[in-house]
Amino acid sequence: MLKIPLITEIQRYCANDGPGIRTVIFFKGCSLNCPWCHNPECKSPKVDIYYHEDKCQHCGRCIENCPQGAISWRSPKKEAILIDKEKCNKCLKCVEGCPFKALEKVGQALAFEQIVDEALRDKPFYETSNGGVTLSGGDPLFFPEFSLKLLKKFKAEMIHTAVETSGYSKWEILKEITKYTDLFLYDLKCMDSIKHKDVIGVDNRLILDNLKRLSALKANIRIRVPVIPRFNDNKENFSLMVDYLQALQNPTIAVDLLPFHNSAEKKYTQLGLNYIYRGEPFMEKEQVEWIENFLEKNNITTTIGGLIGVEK
Amino acid sequence: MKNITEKDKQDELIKPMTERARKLKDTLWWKHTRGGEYVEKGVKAGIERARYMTQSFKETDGEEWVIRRAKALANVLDNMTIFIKDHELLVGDHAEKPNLMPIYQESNYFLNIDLLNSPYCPDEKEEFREIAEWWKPHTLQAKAEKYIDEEEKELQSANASMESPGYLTGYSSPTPSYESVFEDGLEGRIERIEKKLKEAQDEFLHQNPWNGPEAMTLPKKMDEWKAMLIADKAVIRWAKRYARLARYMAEEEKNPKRKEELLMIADICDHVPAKPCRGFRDAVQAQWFTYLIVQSLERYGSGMSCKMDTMWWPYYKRSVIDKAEQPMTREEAVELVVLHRLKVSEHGVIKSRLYREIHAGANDLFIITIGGVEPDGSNGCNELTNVILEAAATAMTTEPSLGLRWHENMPELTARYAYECIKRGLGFPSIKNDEVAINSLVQGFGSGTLSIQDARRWALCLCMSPGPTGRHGGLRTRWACSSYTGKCLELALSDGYDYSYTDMQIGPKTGDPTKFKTFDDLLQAYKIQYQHVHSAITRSRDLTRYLEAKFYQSPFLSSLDDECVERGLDGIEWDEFCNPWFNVMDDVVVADSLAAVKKLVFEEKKYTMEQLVKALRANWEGYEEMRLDFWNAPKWGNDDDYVDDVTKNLFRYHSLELQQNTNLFGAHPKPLPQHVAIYWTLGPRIGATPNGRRHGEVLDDGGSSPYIGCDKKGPTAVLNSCAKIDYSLQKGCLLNQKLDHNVMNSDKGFPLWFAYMKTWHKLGIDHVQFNVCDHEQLRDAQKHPEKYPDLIVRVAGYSARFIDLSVYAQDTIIARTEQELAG
Ligand code: SF4
Ligand code: SF4
Repeated sequence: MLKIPLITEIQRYCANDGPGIRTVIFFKGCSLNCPWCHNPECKSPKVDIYYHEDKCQHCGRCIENCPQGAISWRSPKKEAILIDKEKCNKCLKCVEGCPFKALEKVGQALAFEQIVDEALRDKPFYETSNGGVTLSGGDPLFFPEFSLKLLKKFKAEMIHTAVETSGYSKWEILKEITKYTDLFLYDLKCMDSIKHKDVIGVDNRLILDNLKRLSALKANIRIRVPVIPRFNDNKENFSLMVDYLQALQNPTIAVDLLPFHNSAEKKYTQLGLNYIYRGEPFMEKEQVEWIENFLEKNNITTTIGGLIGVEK
Repeated sequence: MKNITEKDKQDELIKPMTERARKLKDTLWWKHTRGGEYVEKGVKAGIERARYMTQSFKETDGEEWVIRRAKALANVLDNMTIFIKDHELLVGDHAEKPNLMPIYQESNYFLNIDLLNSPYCPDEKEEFREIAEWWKPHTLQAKAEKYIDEEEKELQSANASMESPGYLTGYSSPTPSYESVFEDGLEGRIERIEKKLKEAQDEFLHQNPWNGPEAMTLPKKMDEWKAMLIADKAVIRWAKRYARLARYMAEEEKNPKRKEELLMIADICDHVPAKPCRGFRDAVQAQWFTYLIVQSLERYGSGMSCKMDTMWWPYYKRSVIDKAEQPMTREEAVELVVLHRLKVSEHGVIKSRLYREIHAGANDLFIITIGGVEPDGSNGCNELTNVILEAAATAMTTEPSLGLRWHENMPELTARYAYECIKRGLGFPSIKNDEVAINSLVQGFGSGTLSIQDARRWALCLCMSPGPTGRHGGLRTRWACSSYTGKCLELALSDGYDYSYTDMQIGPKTGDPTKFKTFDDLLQAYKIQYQHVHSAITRSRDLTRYLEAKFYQSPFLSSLDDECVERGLDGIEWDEFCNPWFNVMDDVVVADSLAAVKKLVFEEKKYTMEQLVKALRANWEGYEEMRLDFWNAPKWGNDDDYVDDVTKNLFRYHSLELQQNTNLFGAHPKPLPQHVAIYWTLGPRIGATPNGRRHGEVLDDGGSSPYIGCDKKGPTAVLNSCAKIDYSLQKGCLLNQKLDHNVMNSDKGFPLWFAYMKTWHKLGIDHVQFNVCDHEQLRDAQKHPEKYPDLIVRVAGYSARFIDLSVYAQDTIIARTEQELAG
């Protein structure tokens, strides 16, 4: 059966997720569990609720409305509410009843046609900029059949397609998807399998194997490396990465280093999620330059900050 | 080895200012206003124009008015104090000192009274009091008041539903024919006019048999020609005064280099505008002299309507490319254009408080047009187009603004120069779709038609409105005004009663809004209110024009126009291609409001009209939940067909209703949806609106720009929405867009923007202009204005120095910018 994803956002006029002007479709759901994730609202495949504390007028209506008794005041001062995730069954009565739009549903079940319609609207911009559509998330490969269907549709419309993925998927599926994908934005987080499993929750072997096979199929691949303090920003990791990338049958286009930033902090708060990088400073460009130099020295084209600078 | 990036390529295009230009810029007297006041201390009115005009008028009592106007101009030019500043190469000013501005005492006696009681009164206060007293019965305002009653007066001057009428403001924007100055020289014009006068005199005295209806048109024409001659000769004498001054200064000058420069100035001012221009230096000086007379000394005129790269091209080519006459390098040409920009920057206008508010942050509106196609349809962007853009990016002054005509085969290099200006935050060039504008001009307005070749010679009359240029260009001065549709909607929801501002019944009774049964009932009431306002401003505009032709003639301007000379007409009377428009404001607030009412009241029936009217009267206080529903209803600018349909139809019937009016030339005005800074000054004048806006909050920032904070889907969705408007029904339509500072400054910035612009053009959208600001920087500038003297933001049809804006206006701009970053 076709697994239908929830969509958190269809973002138009994106400049950093592939060439040209693009529309990015954010799928809700991912197999990995990266603690630094920049899109925490896309981790779980289920509906989430954002609580916008700044909009809340403390009227207490949500507390009255909740059939599960899942909402309470955070403190006796009644300055904010708290949703008990254990009790909540996502009936969304609280969201509908909030007069001040302080509660927001995250994740929409959009019809296939609706997604396609929205993405096609900017076609005139793709044409002049060599842009297109990027599937992102979460991980589009968490919903392989649906992604495949979308990609087929976009290719039929002659639109450039990109897939931003963790690569954690059955090879048969990925192989099929490759036929309709012009560019992969492929995440490589850490070369050490044990560490990978410890921190992210899954082993990296499948990811690495898939990348090898993709390369053999001559897919266009950009490697994305989130550079995370104390996790993968060490020489050893990048030495291993160089060895691995150099052993690929066909070279990847480039490695994009994405220095850590904590701009997702607010989203974690709104979702009521724990975030271990709270207060962690942004990583400056200078802090990752040594990696850029190291990779370049090994003949791997590298950028800092993604596709800005893609002409390189 | 470092590769050469896209960014390096762009940075190379723009060189720093020359030493000379920097020194001149540092000592400029800016005439910018803020919160209705001039920012720089010491900026005020100079007495000389008023003094010498009045002196002359007292002596010419009994003569024809047009002759009196010409003689008064001559008296000013013969006697006003002139000066040349250190380092200047381009000379000429509109007042006796660089910190002063001339007074237009003949337009509006309110302004004279206002001036007498303001800090901007000339030092010779008593003299000016007498002058003002003498002029009171002769002002346009006094002449107009004979034709209107109290009710009309209140409606016109309340400034609730329409801009003050022209007979109060004296506002205009002429399009002189610079080409006839460059090609014929004023001596050539004089010859032509003398010939016409001579022929007419002969005809009048010797006609046999006598044909009264024809012959009796001659005396008026002869007066007009005589006046033209007086004016043209006076302008030549005035330029020669500059030549003499320069020569005198050269004699005294110790520095041999400066001495040489002064002699060069003397040579140029002896030559132009009397004789045809030889090279680029002549052409720049001749343009500046002509501009000063037409738009500052003969009368007040806003804008700088000209197609500059075409107009100067033959002389640029002769000097810079062929090195045949007045040879110079490209760098010298850039410097000269920079000096021209600085001249404009020091220019200013004494104006009423209202206009000081409307033009917040600017000294006035000066818009130069470049680019586009040639009359034969081929690419018209040349090296001078790029030089003009480069000079703007170099000088970093808000004035003059540039309007770039973007056509299908836009050269990438010109686009790059334009991008450099935008990237630096200048807010211009403002970009107009060449094909759309040409199409609209060819269609005309019901009074005469333009050939496609003539239409292709268009330039912006003011911020946004194309008009023909050249030696015979149709209407030489503006026929336009502004109207506030937000008020029309408020009146439709209050049976014509203005409860939020004037507390008067200023609109017709269109019925109790709580009894409206359908969306059409509401629309009907709105249309009646809209029509009422527009009939009234058409009336006041026509009355102004009628009086201007009798008492506010411009013989010098007229002498430059081939048709005016041929027909012995004043520029004001020239009717063949009338180019009328109204700046229709707040239309997006109205569209968003109508869509919200349609959805929530008439379709979903979530609220009743009664509730809505109550909530609006209460300024949404106590109705926050309801306000949020209206605020979250579909909004224009998100490529959402529901509200886009409402908007599209609104724009359509704004045009159709407006065109029901016929002006005195038989033309039908078209709407030009745009705002100046009026969207700030209007906030307090327009009550709460059903789009969720509260009384006092700003209106939309003009034309088809989405309401602040309402464009949630980014710039491509905005363009897709805008593409739904039928621009052939509009005179133009302003669109403000925000661009991300970071992307603009990255390697990817230009290619992305260029692609975006190509799509914009392909979609057939009329206009676009950009704000590029970093909101951190804006916040800092608010706190430390001294650190940011050059920070420029786009306001509406023009750019302003950020530090010159009121806190309220600054906050609005910051909100607009933050929205972009969050989006
Ligand atoms: S209903 Fe909304 S505004 Fe009221 S307490 Fe709950 S979240 Fe806050
Ligand atoms: S979604 Fe339903 S169960 Fe969960 S907190 Fe809201 S009202 Fe309660």
